[in-house]
Amino acid sequence: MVKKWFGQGCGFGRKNHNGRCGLKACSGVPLSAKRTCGRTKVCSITGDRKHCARLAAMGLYPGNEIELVSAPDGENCLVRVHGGTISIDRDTLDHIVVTD
Amino acid sequence: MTNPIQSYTFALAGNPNAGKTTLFNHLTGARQHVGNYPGITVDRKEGYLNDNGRKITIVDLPGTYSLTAYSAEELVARDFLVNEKPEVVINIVDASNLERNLYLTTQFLELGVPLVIALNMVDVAKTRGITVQAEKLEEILGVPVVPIVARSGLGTRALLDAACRIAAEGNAWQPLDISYGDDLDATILRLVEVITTSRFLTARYPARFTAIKYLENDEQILDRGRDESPAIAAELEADVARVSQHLQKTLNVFPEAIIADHRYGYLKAVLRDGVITHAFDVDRLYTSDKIDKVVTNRLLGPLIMIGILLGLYQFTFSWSEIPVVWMESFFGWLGATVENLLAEGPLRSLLVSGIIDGVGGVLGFVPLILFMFFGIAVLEDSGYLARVAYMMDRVFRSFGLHGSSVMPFIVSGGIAGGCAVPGVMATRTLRSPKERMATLLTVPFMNCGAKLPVLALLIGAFFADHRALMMFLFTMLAWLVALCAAKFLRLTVLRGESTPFVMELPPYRFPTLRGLLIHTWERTWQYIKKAGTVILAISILLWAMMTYPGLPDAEQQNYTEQRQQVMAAYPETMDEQGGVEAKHQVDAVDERAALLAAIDREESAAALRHSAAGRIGLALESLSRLAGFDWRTNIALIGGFAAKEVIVSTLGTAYSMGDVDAEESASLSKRLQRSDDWNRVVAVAALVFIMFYAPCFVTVACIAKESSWRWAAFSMTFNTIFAFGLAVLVYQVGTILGLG
Repeated sequence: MVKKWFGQGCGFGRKNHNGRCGLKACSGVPLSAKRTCGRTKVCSITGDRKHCARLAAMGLYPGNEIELVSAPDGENCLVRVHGGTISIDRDTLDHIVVTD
Repeated sequence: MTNPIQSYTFALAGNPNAGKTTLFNHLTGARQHVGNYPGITVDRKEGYLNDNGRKITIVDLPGTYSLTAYSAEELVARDFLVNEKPEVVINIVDASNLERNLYLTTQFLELGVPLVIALNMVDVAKTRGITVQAEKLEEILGVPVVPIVARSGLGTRALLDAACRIAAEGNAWQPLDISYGDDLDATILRLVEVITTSRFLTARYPARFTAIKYLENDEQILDRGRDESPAIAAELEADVARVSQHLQKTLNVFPEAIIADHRYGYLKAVLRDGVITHAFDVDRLYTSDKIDKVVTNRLLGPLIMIGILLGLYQFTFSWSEIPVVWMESFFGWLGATVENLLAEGPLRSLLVSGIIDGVGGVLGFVPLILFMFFGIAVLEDSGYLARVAYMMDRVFRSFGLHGSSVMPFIVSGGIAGGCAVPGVMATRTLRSPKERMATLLTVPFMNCGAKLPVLALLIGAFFADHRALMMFLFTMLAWLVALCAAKFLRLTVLRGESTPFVMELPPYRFPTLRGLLIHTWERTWQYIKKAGTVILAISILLWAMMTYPGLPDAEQQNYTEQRQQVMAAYPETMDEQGGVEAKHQVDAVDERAALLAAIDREESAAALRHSAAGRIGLALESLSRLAGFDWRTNIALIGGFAAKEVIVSTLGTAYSMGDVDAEESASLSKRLQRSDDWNRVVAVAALVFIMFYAPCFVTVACIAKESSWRWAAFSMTFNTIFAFGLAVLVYQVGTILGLG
């Protein structure tokens, strides 16, 4: 039964309100390895559950598009998401995988 | 028959930095500190206003991004809403950043609280080309939406009216159902059924809200559930765990990420429905981001930061120079006047040496404090301090601290002129107990407002040509020592993992003159108030310790005899002898005055030596000489255990009592320059000791309250031993190198 809900390729198998696929499976690189600014999409976020939940509330969750204001290049960086600018530390950047 | 007086409670809630406290101040006439920095309000604050005969209590809640228990702020906000059930929740949203701000709104709607949305900063939104159709938003969300500008007070009347109307209606809470996708919705429906039939936690939360919080793994609600009914809690948890595990396996996400996605999705759909129009390209970077690209640049950023700090110190010292001299001469004049008006005795000594020299020594620095606070207010209100936290996070991390430690450091005087007490309290925002302890124990190393007069006095007296540079170097030294001490603590007693730091950066804003003046004044007033109360009391106590017990009669008699001998040798009648060479006569008068002054000085110094404080100072001198401190400095340093401001005032008293100058009432700075016991090396050693030894009593009590008395005692002993070691090192090396 549960398999039937989630088993399809595109996560929840339906389009959400903004018409894009909520959680399409994607492969990519850790955000900390990004060398350039610009738009990218979050593939997955791992690590402590509570921390992931806080990130989600701030707009950082799989499937969402973000814009790098500064290139991380192994350090902390600034990201624009849902109209706000968020600073993210190095360890968290390692745990966020984005499209290459 | 008269109408009963209506009384309402309105809660102000919203994202960090949305303008809650600004609106709170505007509505209640309060002067709460507002900063362009997230997390200024950690506790809730209450204010009152009388509106057309209605008594309204306004509660300012801490800023949060969600109503799930991820942090202390969120718990405070949510507990207030469900426990106190305010008549209306005024949700302040930043109109220039609606999407993010309305995320919290969706959760208020889900909780069902009576809501009024205050659409703040419509003026900022306009400059960004964003127009929000408030009526349309009101229609879609089903709650009143009032555009306001909290800074100027525009629209607050309409906001109050709307809130009063909702409060008067007194409707029951009506939760909104947001769809989280067919699949999660099915789970929620199952959970809701169990919750409703068993009335599980329904006294506090709507059933659907509880179900969603179970899916979001909200620890507080899970605990409350287990307390209420272990069996039902276990049933709900098992159902949620099944779904959660499956999501993890198939999509590598937890339910809360999917819930967040749908909430943002719901908002996107709401906003796209004609609520918001952009005059410019939506994707363009705003000016704020463009500035950030330069200001937070890896190479340029730190250079700009250093430039700004140096500029701030230069501004402070150069602009405050003349008023500080005025204040000094005013207190000098006051002292001289009182001295002339009153006959010699304990009262004159108390007024001149105790109060005027003591409190005047502290108040004399008010212009300097005022300029420094003004500069810091500009940095804070513009949003630059948040960038400093972002840049410093990298450095802090390598010393075992956290990005959230930056603000407590700055509050404590990281730039100069703060206070360690709010700094220690600001460490509450740190979630990891070990990082919090390391921050809490090292923030007192910063140059707080009380240390500032000492720094200004000694730098002014011994490094007059390089004041801004020396101030900058001493600030850097404070940071270096604090960071190294933190690293030491994190490698020894406070070992542990570092925790992540994610923070929203507020956009740059032009500070308003009113805001700057309020900030500057509130901090300066704190300083003046402390000088007039605590410092006055300690000054009097120290004066008493420096005056009593007085010299034994025999010794006093001895000095009186000496005076009489001088007077006999140079009889006053000499003046009237006339006819003798005028020059010879003037010389004789001068000689007599000089001899009398020397006796006065000797007696005064002997009296100070004989007093309780003098004896303590002398007893410690053999040890303190290692760092170059004479017994009079020791008295001041002992006073500094109570409050650091007292150091300047006690030095003032000690040097005015022990160094009487009949000719002029010289400033303390000049007295120190003239003293044989002081030179540049001693000044640096003293500054190093004063910057790093035991925190003042109030801070120690605060550390004890926030942690334990053991840690407070540790802080006192560790800091004092460390500071003394450093001062000895500075003095010995400096003396060997002949820098004095």
